[in-house]
Amino acid sequence: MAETISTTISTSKPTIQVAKFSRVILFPVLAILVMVVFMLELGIGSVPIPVSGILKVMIGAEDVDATWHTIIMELRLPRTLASLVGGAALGVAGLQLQTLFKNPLAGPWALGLTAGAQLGVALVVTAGAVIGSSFLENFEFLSNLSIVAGAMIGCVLVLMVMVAISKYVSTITLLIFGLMLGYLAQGLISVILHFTNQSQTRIYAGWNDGSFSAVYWEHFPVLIPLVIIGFAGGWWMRKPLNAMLLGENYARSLGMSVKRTRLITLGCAVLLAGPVTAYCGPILFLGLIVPHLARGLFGTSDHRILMPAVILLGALIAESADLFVHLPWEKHFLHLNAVNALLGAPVVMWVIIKNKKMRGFEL
Amino acid sequence: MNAVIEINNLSTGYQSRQGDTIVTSNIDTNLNVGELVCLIGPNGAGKSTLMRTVAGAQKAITGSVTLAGRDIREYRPRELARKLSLVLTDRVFAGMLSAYEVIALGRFPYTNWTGKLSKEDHRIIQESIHMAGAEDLVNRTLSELSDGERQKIMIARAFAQEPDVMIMDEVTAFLDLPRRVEIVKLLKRMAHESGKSILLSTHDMDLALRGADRIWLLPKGEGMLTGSPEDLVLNGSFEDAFISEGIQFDRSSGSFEVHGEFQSSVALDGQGTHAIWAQRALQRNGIQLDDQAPTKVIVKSNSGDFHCVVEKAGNQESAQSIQNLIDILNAK
Repeated sequence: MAETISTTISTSKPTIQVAKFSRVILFPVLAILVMVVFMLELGIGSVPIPVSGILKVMIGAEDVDATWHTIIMELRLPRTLASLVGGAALGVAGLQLQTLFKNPLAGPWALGLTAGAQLGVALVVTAGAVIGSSFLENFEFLSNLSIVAGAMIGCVLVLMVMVAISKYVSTITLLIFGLMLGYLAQGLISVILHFTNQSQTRIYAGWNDGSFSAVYWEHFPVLIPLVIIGFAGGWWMRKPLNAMLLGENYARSLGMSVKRTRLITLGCAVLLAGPVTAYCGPILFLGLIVPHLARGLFGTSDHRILMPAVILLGALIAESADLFVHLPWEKHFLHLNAVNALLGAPVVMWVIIKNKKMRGFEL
Repeated sequence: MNAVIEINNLSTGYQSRQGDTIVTSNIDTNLNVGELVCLIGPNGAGKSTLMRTVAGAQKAITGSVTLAGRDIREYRPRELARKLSLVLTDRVFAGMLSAYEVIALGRFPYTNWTGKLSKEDHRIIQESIHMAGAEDLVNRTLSELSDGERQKIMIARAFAQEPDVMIMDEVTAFLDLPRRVEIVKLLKRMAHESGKSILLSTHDMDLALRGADRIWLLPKGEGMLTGSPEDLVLNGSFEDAFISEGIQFDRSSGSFEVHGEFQSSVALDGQGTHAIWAQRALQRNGIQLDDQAPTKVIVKSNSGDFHCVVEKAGNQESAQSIQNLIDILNAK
């Protein structure tokens, strides 16, 4: 027995060295890729703009085509930044939720946080519409704090329900529960919108499609600070989150306050998922799959590595999905969530199959 | 002997608005520096409650648990984690953390908020790995390890906390015999060489009797008995604690024998391993050993193939295996 053990180990011994080496390479590679896709996002579309044009617009040069300036500054740059921030934020929220719930299938969308945020936004907007005039005006008028607040309250309520039931149900059941909450929210939203007018319903339907192109410059002063607080909280909690990987009992025995860690981390997940959903609509799959891809790529569950890894990878994947949506397709318009599903569903299936084999869950 | 944990007039149990439920009372004992103590007792005697109370995770109903001269409930969590570490039955799925990273989490109470490990931390982690004999495991992820290997890593992690006391709940529960023996050897080494005090709750009587420096025996509904394993066997405490129908504690073998009513009796003759296993087979089948019995079983072999002769009323029959022997006896 001893012989067999030592032989299997001697073959696997170098893996950590390899992993560490590849980590050093991976971070700059990912960062460069994020920049490359960033440039592609600005350049590619129904009106192609060369790199020189992009750079000129960015540095504010005088001798630049006015259309290009408008396209980049008004359309493509805010959209690209939104995908960057949104992907990173949803990825980190997913990582936090997966560790806290000890559930590899957790994520802002899978746990129903997105649905809660949607419902919150719908309620705020409808309330605004009842008092004021149309959805559109109110959407613009209330666009900042009240919508975000509505989204976050929705998130918090759903999260409280999920935390309560997670003690009694299995991993997969919790996921199904979260998805059902999503349908429930959709139903409620439809009923709510039924009592308002048709044009509002159409605008809501557009928002409900999920897209980074709905984010405008005036949203960033709210979005960015909240997301930064969420990242900072995640980075602050990286040590206790590592201890949480051993389970709550062990974490407590290491002298850690489980309650405090839970509260701060869940709060951060809400700060990340709420505003992104408020502005971009429901973005499916990203928050769930990005942490898995980061673990697979970096070969670790250590949050000190995963936090920056998830931020880069989330930004990269969201950007790429958005780029794919906005390629100059001839006939039709692609939906962001359709691309996310093409990417995400296989990853989720892979996670489920892999975990069944391992008789439990793996983070 | 220096006591690191002193237990004075302790009653354990649960407090609720309806009143206190006392599980065990009048416990007075010490956990000494550098000893491995096994806590054993029948199910429902309150082992887990006692473990939790001694670890400071549960309030004592009366009396006190003192760790290094101070009431254990007065410690702040981080302070306590530097004095006392736990190994639990909880199965850990730390995914893609390597065994080394898991052991490094033992330094949690010592590192700052960034969790950065100093040279000294790494040295202590190495020492823990060496102590646990886990050098070959550290580069693998926890999910790749077997139950026994994983438990070793969790013990090394608890050791890396540099505690005075290590409290372990059923750490040998999922393991096969060689792995259990290995773990107990490891714990003895930690206790005797490093002066850690280890309290291990276990259902494994045999291991407790062979491995423990001292035993805390917790019978149902009474106070706790403590002493060296042999004393507790010889003064009958073991038998009393585990008394129940169909089971008997055999003082000579130090183990429990399962049997129902004896159906018949035979006289067994023979020496060595083959005779011992023949005896076990007879007992297992409800056949009593009695030198005066008319049926005789003479075990001829002592190594190689089993061979014995059954004599009854002048007839002789030969058996080539234990199963064969049982079939012959049952046929009569």
